[in-house]
Amino acid sequence: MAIEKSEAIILRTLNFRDTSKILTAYTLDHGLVSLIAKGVRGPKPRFGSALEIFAHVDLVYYNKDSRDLQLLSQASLLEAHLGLASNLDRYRHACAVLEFLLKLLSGQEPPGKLYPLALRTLEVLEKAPVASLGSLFLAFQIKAVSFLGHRPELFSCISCRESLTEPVYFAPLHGGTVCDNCVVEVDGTRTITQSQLGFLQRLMKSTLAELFEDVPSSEFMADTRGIFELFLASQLDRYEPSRSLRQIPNRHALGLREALKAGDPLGN
Amino acid sequence: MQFSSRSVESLVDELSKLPGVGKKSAQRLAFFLLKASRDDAMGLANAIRAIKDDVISCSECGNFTEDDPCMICTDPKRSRVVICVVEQPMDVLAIEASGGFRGQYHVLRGALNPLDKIGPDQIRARELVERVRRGEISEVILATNPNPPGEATAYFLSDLLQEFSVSVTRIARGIPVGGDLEYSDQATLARALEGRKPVETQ
Ligand SMILES: [Zn+2]
Ligand SMILES: [Zn+2]
Repeated sequence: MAIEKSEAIILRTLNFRDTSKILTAYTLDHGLVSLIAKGVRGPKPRFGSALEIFAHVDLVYYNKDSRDLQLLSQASLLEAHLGLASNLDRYRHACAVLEFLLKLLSGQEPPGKLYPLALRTLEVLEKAPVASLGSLFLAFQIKAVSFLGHRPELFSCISCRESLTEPVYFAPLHGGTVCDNCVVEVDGTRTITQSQLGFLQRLMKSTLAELFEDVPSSEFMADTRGIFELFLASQLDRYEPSRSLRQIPNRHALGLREALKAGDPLGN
Repeated sequence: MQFSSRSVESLVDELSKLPGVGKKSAQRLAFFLLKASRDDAMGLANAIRAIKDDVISCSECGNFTEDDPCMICTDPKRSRVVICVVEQPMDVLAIEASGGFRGQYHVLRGALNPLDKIGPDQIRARELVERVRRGEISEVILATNPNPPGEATAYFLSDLLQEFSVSVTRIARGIPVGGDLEYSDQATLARALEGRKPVETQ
């Protein structure tokens, strides 16, 4: 049994028995780790807000590879990201980040660029203008899959490698853009407009902070997201569209209240 | 492990489905019941049957009850204008034990958490809005947990209730009574400072 120390982001928590918690943490050094935190709930709670989702923490735990659940020894809070729960739009996007990480990570990931990206994304989702949250989440997804070896080709033709001139097509299955000359040879292509392509290129190249002003119309966003979802679905084995974005409503409060009056199910 | 009796084996199977009960504890419990008197064992069996046959969810507040509406909802000595919103029936027990509240409850049976597949349709939000719409309520106290799903739920509900003329309040979060400032993490301290109140003077 080895004692491990790592900073981490808490992705999931589950109350266990009367006083314990089971946690899924994305650690900087060892990827995804499942932990049991014994005796942390109850009349004398320990570790305060360090064991809640979104928390950026320093963890100390006993690791035994033969076990599924590692034993938490210490947890100290670096940043709670409280702002992520103070607005439903921030909350649904931040949950979508955790959800994406839970699907994407398979366990003992070596340290890489994804962890700092995930942390930075949570920080940014807490403070960015609400209207830019959709762009930021999409940028996170594009960057995250790129770091994991599924970088979409958005700057040249995947078939002839030439640079792109209009019209441009997108082939989700083959992972990128196709030029007009090659489109007949590539299966499963669909058109992508210059502005959609430009938007995806910006999301890939820009830092998250540079995207604060990038607020496309919701229709444009939905269309572009749709194209990228096709890419994710064909590139990742276990990909499912975000439950968080689907399940938690983003409609303006008034819209929600009207939906209630009309007897619509909420959040669909 | 091979049991000599099929009924013992099936009891062990059933017991090990309980939260926090592993195979070993399930075996211990099964052998305890095997040795217990018939009355004790049947007492347990009947109690389990009764909660499944008789206990329902109160159509008003969503708490567990045998009568609908429940004893709390029908108690004439309780205020009908204040409603305290909690996540779980256990939270009602805790607040009742404190003796500090004499109004109505609304049990959501969860908090918004898409990672656990809980969205607005799973938390009895619509029922809360319906209760408020009827007009008797003047204050809604949001007593969901002070963690991200609980906070998000509180924001969601206060948003939903905006159109009604009720005051919506959130329970204070911060340093627990008996807690130590020195040992509180920065998130707890930040919330405690945020929720500060003027000191009452005579
Ligand atoms: Zn080409
Ligand atoms: Zn009731």
